[in-house]
Amino acid sequence: MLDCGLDMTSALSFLPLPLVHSTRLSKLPGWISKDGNTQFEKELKECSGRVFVDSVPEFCLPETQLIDLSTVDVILISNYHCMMALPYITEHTGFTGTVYATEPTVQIGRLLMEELVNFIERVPKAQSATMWKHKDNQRQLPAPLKDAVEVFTWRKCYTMQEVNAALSKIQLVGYSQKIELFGAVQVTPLSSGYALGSSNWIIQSHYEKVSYVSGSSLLTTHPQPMDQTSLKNSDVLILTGLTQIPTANPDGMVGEFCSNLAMTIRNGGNVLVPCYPSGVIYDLLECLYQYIDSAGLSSVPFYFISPVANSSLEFSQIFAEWLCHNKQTKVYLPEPPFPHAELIQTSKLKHYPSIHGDFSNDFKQPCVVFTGHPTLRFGDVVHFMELWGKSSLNTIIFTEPDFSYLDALAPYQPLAMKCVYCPIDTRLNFIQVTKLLKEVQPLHVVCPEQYTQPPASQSHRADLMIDCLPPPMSYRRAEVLTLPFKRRYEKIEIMPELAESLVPTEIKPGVSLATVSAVLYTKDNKHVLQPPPKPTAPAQSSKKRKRAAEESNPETQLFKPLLSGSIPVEQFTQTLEKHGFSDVKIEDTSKGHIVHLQEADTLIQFEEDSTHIICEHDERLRARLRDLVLKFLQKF
Amino acid sequence: MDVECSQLLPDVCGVLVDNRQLITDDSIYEKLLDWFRCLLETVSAEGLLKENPCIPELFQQVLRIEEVDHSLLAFAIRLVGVLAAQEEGFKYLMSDGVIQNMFGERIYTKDTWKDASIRRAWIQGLRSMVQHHEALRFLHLGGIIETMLNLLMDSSLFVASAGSDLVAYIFVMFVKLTGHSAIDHVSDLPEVALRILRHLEKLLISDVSQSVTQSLKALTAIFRDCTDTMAEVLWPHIAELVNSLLKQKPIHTAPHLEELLLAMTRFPVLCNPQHNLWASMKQALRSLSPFQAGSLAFGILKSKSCPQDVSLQAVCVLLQPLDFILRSSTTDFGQPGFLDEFVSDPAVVENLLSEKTSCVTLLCQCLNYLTELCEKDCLAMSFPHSSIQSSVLLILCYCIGQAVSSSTAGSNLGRSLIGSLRVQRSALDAIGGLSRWPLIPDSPIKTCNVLTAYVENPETDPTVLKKAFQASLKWLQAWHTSDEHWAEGRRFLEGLCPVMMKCLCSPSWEVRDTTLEFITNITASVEGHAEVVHVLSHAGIPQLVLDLLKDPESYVRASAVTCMAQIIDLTHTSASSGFRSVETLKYEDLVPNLMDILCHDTEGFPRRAVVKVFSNWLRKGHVQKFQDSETFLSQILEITCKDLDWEVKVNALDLADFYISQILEMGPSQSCPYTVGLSSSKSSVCISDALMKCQRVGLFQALLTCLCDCDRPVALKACEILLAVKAELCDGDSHSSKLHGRDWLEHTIKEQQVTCRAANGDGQHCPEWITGVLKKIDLENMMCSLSKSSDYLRETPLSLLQDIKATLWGGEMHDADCY
Repeated sequence: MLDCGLDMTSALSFLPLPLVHSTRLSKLPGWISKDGNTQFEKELKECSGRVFVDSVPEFCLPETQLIDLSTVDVILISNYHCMMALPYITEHTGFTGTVYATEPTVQIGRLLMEELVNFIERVPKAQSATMWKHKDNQRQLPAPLKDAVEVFTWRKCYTMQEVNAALSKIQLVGYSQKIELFGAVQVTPLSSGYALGSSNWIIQSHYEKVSYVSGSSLLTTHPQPMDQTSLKNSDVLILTGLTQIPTANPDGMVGEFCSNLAMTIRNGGNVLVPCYPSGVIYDLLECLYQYIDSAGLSSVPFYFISPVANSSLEFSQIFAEWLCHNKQTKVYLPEPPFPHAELIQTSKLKHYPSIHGDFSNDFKQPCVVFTGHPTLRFGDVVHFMELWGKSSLNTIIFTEPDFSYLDALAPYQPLAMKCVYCPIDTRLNFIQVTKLLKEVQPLHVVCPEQYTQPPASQSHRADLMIDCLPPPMSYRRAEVLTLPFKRRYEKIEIMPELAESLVPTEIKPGVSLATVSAVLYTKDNKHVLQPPPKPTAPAQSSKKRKRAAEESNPETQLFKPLLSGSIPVEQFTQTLEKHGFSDVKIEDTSKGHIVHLQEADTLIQFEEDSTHIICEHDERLRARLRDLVLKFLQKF
Repeated sequence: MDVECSQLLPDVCGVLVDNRQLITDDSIYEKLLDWFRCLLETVSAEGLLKENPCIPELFQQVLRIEEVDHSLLAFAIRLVGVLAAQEEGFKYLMSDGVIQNMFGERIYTKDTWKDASIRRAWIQGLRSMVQHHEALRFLHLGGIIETMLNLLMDSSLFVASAGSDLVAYIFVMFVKLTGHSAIDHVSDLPEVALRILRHLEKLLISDVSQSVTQSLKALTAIFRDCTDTMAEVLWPHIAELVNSLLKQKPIHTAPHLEELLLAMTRFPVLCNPQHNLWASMKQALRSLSPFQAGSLAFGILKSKSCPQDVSLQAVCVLLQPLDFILRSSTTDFGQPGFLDEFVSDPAVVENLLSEKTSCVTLLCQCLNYLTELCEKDCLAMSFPHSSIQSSVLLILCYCIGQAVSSSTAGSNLGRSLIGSLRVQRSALDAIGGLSRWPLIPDSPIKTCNVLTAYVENPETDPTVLKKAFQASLKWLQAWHTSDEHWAEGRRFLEGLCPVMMKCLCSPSWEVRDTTLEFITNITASVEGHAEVVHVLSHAGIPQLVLDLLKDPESYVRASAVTCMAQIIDLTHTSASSGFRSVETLKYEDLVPNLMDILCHDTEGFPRRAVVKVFSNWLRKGHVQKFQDSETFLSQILEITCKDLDWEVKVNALDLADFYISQILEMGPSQSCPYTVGLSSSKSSVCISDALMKCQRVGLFQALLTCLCDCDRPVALKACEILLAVKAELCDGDSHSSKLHGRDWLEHTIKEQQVTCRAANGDGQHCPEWITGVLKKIDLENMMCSLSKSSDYLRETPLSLLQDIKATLWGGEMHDADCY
């Protein structure tokens, strides 16, 4: 199984979970259908014309009905965003296999899960809504609830116990490490340049190679650069995880982020940045580190609020070997690789596990707050939305590209605060993919259908799709695809003692052949040729018995050499004449030649792949002629 | 030639021909040739040769050497050409047989002729030499013309190219010098000219592309140099051949044909319909590829004498890509196209525009020509301005993925143009150029929308942003001139303000700098329009610009200084015109910020900008209104004199120059020699007062210190000012018997400082002292030496000859050491 992501856009259908009691949210009216039906009044609430489920948020799991997940042997994880559904799979499906991921992926993945669990668990909500999910009921609901798919598979968040159990099933791997899977294939993680420890995977046998390219980046950000060379010579390249916002260049967006942040602060407003606790935030803090002094923002406090803020900032500094070259060299100076250490030292950046406690004492405005969750449905961000949403001086800047910012803001309407959308998605865009595919040159590309046509909102942008030859094979949800290659060859090892016994004969320069008689052992998809067992010594050694034994046991039969080569007819004729055959006549046929020995009434037929001596009743003559023919052939 | 050079020259000639010396630096030959050319502007060649027999001897020796160094031979050939350009020099060298041996059969039949550099030198030598009848007569000698014509097809491109120029030159010289200026027919041409023409005609009908190219190049060169009359005779003679070339498919020699045709447009006589030149032009516009035809069309449109029907065709060719763009769209920009007839094959144009590289190149060419023609007002005829503007706007939309088109052509265009910075820059230049056309209703809104989209787009490259701002400025200027459209301009500017503010906060310094430059330009170009400053102030832009005076990037600080000064200027102009701005800043409010930059900024650019601003304020009379203007000026001069950047000092000297001119009421006679000098009898009291003022601001001390400055431009500027002041103060006074130089001045300044300090402690000079110093110092001589560039000593001929001798004799000295 390649990756194990969790679709959290389902949470957007739910009401936010406020940390502090919100009168506004609690007073939202229940939804009553047009025909006056009040059965959903308690489950669904209406806010500015949109309907939300008043329940603990739920998430959409990976497809579980197509295959029996208990039969999955291995899960390969590409990056920490792509493992968020792992507890659901490992703990509830009978999965008994192994999960492979790099160390930073596991550690930061743990932080993301821990934050998610913490956000949900610290605001317990008794109510659980299920009535709206019934198909007949769902049909009556307004969009987007009406259009939500597979709502019955949506699940509440897992617990920390489940997280720990899931993570214990992960086996850590390093870049370029070769891992044998049941002798059948070898898998290797490669740096993908997208996030700390993010990987692409090579799955290869001796004669076939499949590359799995997930979230990858060619930009110079904090992680180790993408390893492109190892992806070359792939039979199939499975391509996923391209940028969600192909029209937005991350550099431009970072500039936009900084400009809007500075403008808001200069006007006396606060800035709220809903974000994940790891990833782009490191790069944003680095940009701000360079920018704040020049923009005259040195005195403005930056707050990073997350239950895992401290761990995230500290973890980032210790994964030196997974960082880009520049940051790695800093470690040897020694200096912290990320400049946020200096921001923390100089108290420009302060981090807190939540808005409760120390934060409320230190809180000063105007300020910049980085906090989760980007859906604006849970986490400390909900509090700041309630606090700052009413003033037009404040700005919320969306940087995470995973969620529609309009949907995220929907339960907070009407909203006075300014809203800026600067999605920073460093993953490959279509220009980069096209260039990558030209360099890597896989025989076939397999990708989601969405990448083979321009986005629906920009159907005129023919540049926003994969452009490669041959055209990519696309797949859609729940589609079963046969990868376009066949396993034709297997590699077989020869034991040294068997190899020693071989006598190769050079049949043409550079090509030697030898016949092999051996026993083929196959175990764990490995094939080995071993010497044949030695014949057991015969009890009696009478000639007759020996001969019978030789005839019955093919392995002990006399070695008959294999023949190769062609017979030059003219030379053969000369040889015949030398040996006393004077009346030789040659006839050309469509397949070769016929040599006619008239006196002996004998024919020798030479064809491309056979030679026949036709002579009746004269075995001696036949044997003589056979020996003359054999003189022209190579034996081995 | 001065005596020292004359004495050195024989030695130099000696080492040049000494085959034991290996000359590794060929540039000495070029330098020697340059020197001889200079010399011959003042002396006669014959005199030079007679006075320096080593020169003809050099030629003889070169000719005598069996295996002569090719560079030396080439040099000798070229030098002979230069000397023989004068008739007397020619005769002198002819009498020695040098000319014959250097240019005659002897040279082009030897092995050395195989070297392209010798052939090229021969061409250059002839080109120099053929200035008179004697030289022409020499050319009649066997084989020279033949050899010259053969060189047209030389294997070396350089030789062939120089050969075609020589052929053209010789042709023109024969016609000019043999008195055949009144030619009615080709048969009236001198024999050699006719021979050349026949040869060129032969090449023109050849199947070999290089022959045709060379012929066309030579003919073009002939038409560039020949007279109207000669053109009138020549063109009908070759017209048919040229036309037949235009009928070939494909036309291999298209660029040269285009050059030939354009060379002909300068003859008014050929514009006469009987000559059919314009018919050929029309044929060329139809036959050439859209690239070449576009270039020809551009040339035609620049020509003043072009008939209207040809201009119309040229416009059609030039604008055909824009027409295609418009046709390819199905957006609300769209008219179905604006051309009624196509000159270039539409399928060819479409094909070129469907492929990315050719699409970008063709559109850039088209847009660049359009911009230039707009700026030169060369598109006089009436054609649908709005359609062209729509097409350019559409290109800009394609480039940022905003143009929606359902056609295949549109889809291809989108694919080719999205993200093309070249096209974006060219199209923005073009849209800026189109602002010169009469304003059309509705066009401002479309233009504003597209320009705003570019400025707003965070993906816009800084170089493109700069162009977008430049185009916006041009449109604002256009709207500014008409009250009817100013409302639109104002709305556009208001819309731009939030974007400008965001740009001023951008982390990219290029963006901040470009935006500041834009604001400076708007405020400068719409001076007197009170609303502009109101719009800017209302948006809070002045405060942001003020903040940028502390920007970490020096270029941005410098631009912020200029911008802030400009905003204050405009604020005051608006205030005086009765308009109440949101926040009226005073000049003096800005002084502490600017002085802080002048004193403490580590980079030169912001300091230079500050001094320029102060200088400007002084000119406009703002400084004079300050409470303590003298102290202010004294501070500036004191600080700038210690500055390490010479440009800061020169800018400060500008300020000092203006101040002193004003104080001493020195009229404009300083700058304009033709102004009638009014009597400038100033009373000694006035002068004394003026000197006291100058003394209070420390002006003379600053000027004298700058005069001793180690940076030449600073000292020169100070010297110029002091010379003017001296003329004013010491007018009529007899010159001091002995004038002193810089060392004396430095010593005197130090001495005076010590004396003054001891006397009253303020280190100031008394006015009399200044007059005294000015009288004693040799400013004229200092001015003379300061005017020369710092490397003039090394550039003298003497230095050149010494260098050659020293370098080459070095080897000989080593030889001597061996014995």
